[in-house]
Amino acid sequence: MKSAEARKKFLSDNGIWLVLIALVILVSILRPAFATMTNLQTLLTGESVKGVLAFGVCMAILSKGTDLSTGSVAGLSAVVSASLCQMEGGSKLLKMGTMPAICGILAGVLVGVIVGAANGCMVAYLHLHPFIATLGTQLICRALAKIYTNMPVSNLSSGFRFLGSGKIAGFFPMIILVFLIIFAAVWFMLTYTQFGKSVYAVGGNDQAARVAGINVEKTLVLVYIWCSFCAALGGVLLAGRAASADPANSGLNYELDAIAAATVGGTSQTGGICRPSGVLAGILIMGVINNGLVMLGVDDNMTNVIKGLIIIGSVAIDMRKNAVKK
Amino acid sequence: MFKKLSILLAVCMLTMSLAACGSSSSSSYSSSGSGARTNTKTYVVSVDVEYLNALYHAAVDEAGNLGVDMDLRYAGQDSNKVIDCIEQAKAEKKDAVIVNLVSSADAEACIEAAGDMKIIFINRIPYDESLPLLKDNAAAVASDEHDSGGFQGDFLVDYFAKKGQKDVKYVLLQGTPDLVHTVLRSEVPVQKMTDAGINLTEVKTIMADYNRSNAAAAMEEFLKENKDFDLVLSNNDAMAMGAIQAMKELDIDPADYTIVGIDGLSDAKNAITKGEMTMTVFQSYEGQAKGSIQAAVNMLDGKDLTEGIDCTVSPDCDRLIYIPFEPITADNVADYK
Repeated sequence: MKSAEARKKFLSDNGIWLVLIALVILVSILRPAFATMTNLQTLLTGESVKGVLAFGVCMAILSKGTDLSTGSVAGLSAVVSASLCQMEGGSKLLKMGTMPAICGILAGVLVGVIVGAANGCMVAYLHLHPFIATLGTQLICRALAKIYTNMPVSNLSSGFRFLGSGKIAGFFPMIILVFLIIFAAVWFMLTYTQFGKSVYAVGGNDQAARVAGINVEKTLVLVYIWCSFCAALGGVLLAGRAASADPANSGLNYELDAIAAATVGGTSQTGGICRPSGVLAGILIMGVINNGLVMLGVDDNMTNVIKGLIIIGSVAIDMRKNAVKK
Repeated sequence: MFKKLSILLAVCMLTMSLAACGSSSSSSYSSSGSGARTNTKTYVVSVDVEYLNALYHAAVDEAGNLGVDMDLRYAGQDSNKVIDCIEQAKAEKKDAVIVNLVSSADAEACIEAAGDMKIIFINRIPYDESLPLLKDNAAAVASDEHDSGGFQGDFLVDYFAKKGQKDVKYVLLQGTPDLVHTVLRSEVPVQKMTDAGINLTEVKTIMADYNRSNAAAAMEEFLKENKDFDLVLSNNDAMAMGAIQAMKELDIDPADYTIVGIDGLSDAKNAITKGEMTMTVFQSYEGQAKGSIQAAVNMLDGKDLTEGIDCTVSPDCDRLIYIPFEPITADNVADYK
């Protein structure tokens, strides 16, 4: 009896990883080229930007909210940071010298922090529904990026591009390291810090959290700042990888993939439930689907159908689990 | 050689238009080459960017003719995904990748991602500052966009001269703003007419992303307010067709206006035949598709890049080859049916 319960608990806790392993084995059998180191590196590199966004948005979902602005924040951050690090010798957006990479990166991240603070204040103090508040900033940020420049920003310095396209020791992509650092940061915050516990409490029951002495408003503002910080960092990575930042296209619709990855990874839409390792698995599952199905020659539209079904299935399972708990 | 050659065509189009079109198809294609046959799954994505759609069909046909094993990939309007596609092609040990850029600014990262693999940009070319990167394993096949706008401009100068009209009010239908050819298609005809002494007045610029339905919707709104103009100067045929559609919706006769486009789509040729459109500039999608695949084959065989391709070479870069544009008017439209 006990072993049956233990098995059930193991499956419940690690089901997402089993799904990932099954997917990897299946695609590898059908297309052996999938399991090569080169392709797996491509998969991780390609998913790193959306992964960083997912590790941000999972916190917003955990707090019983969401953030639809992350893709646009990434786009705005990309054009702002890239414009500061354009090299001499080509067309330049800003008539000034090339700034050190760190200045561009900090400027991009600062954009995210400002937008995140605005999102957080609207949700925490004005009591706007997160869906509406972040939908508004999504539109505003994309428009601001296009107002800032109507042309892509290119000819970027190698220092600025290092985060998105550099390699450590000549083989390990820097972008994957950043992704892993963000994963470690989320895991640490949610597991070991008072802030992490507060987010769980606010997402689970904000009234109870308030009674327990948690500053709900401050927690929410910090959650949305973290979310937009990740989005802005994603934008910097994106510009570095693509060697350009496009105000119209950079980060376009990335928020949907980030929300999907967090949801597939078991982050409950009703708040209060999130495991960073689950989100990591969710990101990797979306990556295997994106990369593997293309390799298998599955039509792009059919790939989206499969992704849609997986997202719906994940939420349905999540709701059933929560209903059982209640 | 050709049987073993595999090429990846990274297809990058507007995701929004994909959603809008509501139809796509995929089909299986058998190489027509002799010997061992290869079955190539092709992604033929139907989108509103009509010229690009035609280009991909032509590329698939041409690959079949040359016995080239070709996959098509859809990268949406996402530079990151284009790079993913290129890296994935490299992981699959493809010989070459043909890329339709999302943005001209992405060329540098695409060339880096391709590494030792041959890469050919089709239709959309890198910015001037990136042209020096086109060497060794990289090349581009397009049409000289100075000519497309130039043909429009030359035609309009003659056309208005014959009408004895010196003052011309125009509406500009502009495509995606961050592409080299959008800039040239918008600037060159205006410059030509201005240089010829025509007094041009820009009544309205409509940004319609090379999209027929975008142009139709925006033009319909505009026409409700203002019908006082002479010329619709469109960056492509799809948007010109959208303008004609909007006029018909409002019971305005398109023949009352001068409407010019670029691409030579069959709808545009029909409109010229019916007198609804004045001229277009034929951009040979078959020529670009054939040229890009032949260029890949030439690069892999160590031959001259342009061997077997009816083209000119850019004066600015010997790795950028141009498939000629051709003007189509009521006088010669029958030749292009």
